[in-house]
Amino acid sequence: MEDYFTLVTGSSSGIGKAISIECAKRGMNLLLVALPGEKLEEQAVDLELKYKVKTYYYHIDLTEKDAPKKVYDWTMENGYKINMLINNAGMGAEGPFERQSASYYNTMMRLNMIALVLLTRFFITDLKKLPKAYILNLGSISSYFPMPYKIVYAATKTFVLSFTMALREELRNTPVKVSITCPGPVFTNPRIIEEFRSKNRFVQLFYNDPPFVARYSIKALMKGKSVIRTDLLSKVLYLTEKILPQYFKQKIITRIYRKF
Amino acid sequence: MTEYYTLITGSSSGIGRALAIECAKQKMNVLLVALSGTKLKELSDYLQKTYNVITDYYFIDLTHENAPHEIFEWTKKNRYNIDILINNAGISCEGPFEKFDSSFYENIMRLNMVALVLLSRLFIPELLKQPKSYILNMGSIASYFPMPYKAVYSSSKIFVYSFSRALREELKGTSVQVSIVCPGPVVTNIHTAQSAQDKGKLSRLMHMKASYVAEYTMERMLKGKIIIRPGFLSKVVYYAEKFIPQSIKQKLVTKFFYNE
Repeated sequence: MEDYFTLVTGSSSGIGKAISIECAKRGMNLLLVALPGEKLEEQAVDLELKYKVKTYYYHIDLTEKDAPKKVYDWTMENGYKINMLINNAGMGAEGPFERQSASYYNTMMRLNMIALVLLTRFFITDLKKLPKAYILNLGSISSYFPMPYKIVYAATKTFVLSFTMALREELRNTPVKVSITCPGPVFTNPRIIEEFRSKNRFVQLFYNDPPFVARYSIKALMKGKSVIRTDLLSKVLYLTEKILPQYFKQKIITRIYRKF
Repeated sequence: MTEYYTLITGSSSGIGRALAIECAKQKMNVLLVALSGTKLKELSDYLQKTYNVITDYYFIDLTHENAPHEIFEWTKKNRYNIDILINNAGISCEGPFEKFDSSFYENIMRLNMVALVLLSRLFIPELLKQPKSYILNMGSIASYFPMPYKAVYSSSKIFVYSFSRALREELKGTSVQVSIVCPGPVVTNIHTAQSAQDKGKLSRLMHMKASYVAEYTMERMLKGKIIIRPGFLSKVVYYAEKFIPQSIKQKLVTKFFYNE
């Protein structure tokens, strides 16, 4: 009986960490990938003890040259066969376009888009040979619209949505299901928690915790859902996107964003 | 009296070259950027002689990490003030996702998206200082919806669309106008001309001349139009996209654009 693994990038915190736990709960063996300096060894031991699954880990900066290839080679060298690829690693930014440097945007695009596509490219051939395989890409409500004050981040998430949809269609007659999950605001790091505290009660209702997002996403992924809308805001914005003319969409989004 | 320049990337052939000629026709000074080995010098001399404008050129591979910075430094060193930035350089791909290797996809993403964002980021502070300035980004019909068998390419153009619209919104009220042009198939070189011939009558009809696209685009860009749709196909697909369900769209694209 062949042992398969689920590979999760950015697994050391936030949604990635929650997804790792959710997968382990379901008896999946795990390959954890995160930046050097993240406590992957502890995380691996913890998951192995609690859920009795095999867990291995690899430290790498996915924005470095050839990083996706190195991840792939690592799995090959160790004979780790994956049947689920979770492209979770990503970074964000907020504020006017000029707030961040060109170099920061370069890193963001390398992580959110280039690493995602390249990892998918490396693993796809093997995934297609299995009876069943999954790819889950991390999107966001930012995937739905262009967003002033989150210009590059939203565009990268829209890229991920588009790439997921196009690839899914291409792989329609294969055993590989590609999906994207588009959660609304999630408590993933101190910045967001701080942001949450500054909002009023009503707005706070729309924030989600990572375990919820993870559980909902994995469940929907395994059911073969293409675009996973984990929370109310995600569902509402999706409907809005379908109905409203572009002009209004833009105005509303800018206003919602400013308020949120 | 300050001399202003229009900077055009990928200006050695196709739409970029046509745009360079159109700009020179309109008495704009032109800075040409393209890969080494291309006939930039000849184009530069031709424009200078024929239209009596100042031109200069720079050979560079925009897929290199530092290329946008290098171009920026070159304009600073020569004291070229830019008032129009045309992010035209891009590569396309057609075929199943596995047809191309990771480095090819990496180049597409770096050229079509990263270089475009970084150049915009580097030149914006200076563009803001001009009484009137423009950024023109190259989209495509592929900007309208995700395309199977063109997953990375169409997603990159959707990224450009999202980026441009959000940037336009953020820069509202400033002197910088951001536009995106979404042309259909253009006869840009021998290769595309042959491919147009091969795909039949409808395909030949839909192909436009680069000079037409350039003229149409510049006129509307200078008028401040956000989304520029040269040609019949671009307009038709844009409106049809709104009404046709996603699933049918995808199948139509596969049929029309990708012949096995």
